[in-house]
Amino acid sequence: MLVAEIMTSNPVTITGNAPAARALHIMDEMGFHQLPVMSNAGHVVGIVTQRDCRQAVSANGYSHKHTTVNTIMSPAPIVVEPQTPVQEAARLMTEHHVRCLPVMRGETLVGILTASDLLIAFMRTLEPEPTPGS
Amino acid sequence: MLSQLKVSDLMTKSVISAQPDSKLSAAKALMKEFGIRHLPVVEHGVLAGIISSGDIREAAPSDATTLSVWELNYLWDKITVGEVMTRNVVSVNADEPFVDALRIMVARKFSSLPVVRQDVLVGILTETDVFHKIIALAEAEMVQA
Repeated sequence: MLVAEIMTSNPVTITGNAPAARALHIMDEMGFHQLPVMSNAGHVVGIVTQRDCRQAVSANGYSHKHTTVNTIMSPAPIVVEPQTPVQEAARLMTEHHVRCLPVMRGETLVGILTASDLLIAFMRTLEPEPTPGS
Repeated sequence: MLSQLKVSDLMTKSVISAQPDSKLSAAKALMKEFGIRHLPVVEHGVLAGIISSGDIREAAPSDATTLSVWELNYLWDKITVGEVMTRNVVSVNADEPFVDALRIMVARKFSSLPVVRQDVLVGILTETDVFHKIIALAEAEMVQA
């Protein structure tokens, strides 16, 4: 099984100069735990998590509008390609203690693979195929 | 057969746990030492709750954003795990089919599940345990092919 089969395509992203509070708002609204961070030139430059944003917002109180995503994100994320086998993605998440991998085709972000995507895919392989007509 | 995997086939058996009368500072130190974010709480050998790093952070009053690290540590030294842990903890039985436990993790968005046998904590099932299985199965397949 390949990453392309189980990834989320066209992921929601945030730009590095956006306020942390805005990233947090997007994640809360959409139920995401992390967002890929893009440069103005459209390159993936990092990953920001809900936790990063919560900590920034609570640590800075009312001044949180001034904290931008690129100051709290994890830069240079581990990435995979659509053709990467899922077990390789699982190995990368385990080794690097991350729960989210941007999926890149060359320089272009084409998807995102999360720990949940892997769990769901594995769950489906364990469940018996529904019999036709049942 | 994959569908016959049990929770006990994948779980981590050496599970780090806390007691209800442990201080939050001690729980926090354990999490840091072992690089984990959840601690099952055990009272007289029986699973009594679970505490997360988020529970500890939120245990400080809401105006604690103005507190210094020293003041926070003072607070965490006064509050016990039993005061802030989640009591109605979702757990799975060690002899249950693994796929049932995985369904709970997916549906409830849990990254780990305490594992019990007759209420006694015997392990913890984490996302990492599942990933190790995915990797091991893929490697076994390659050997066969």
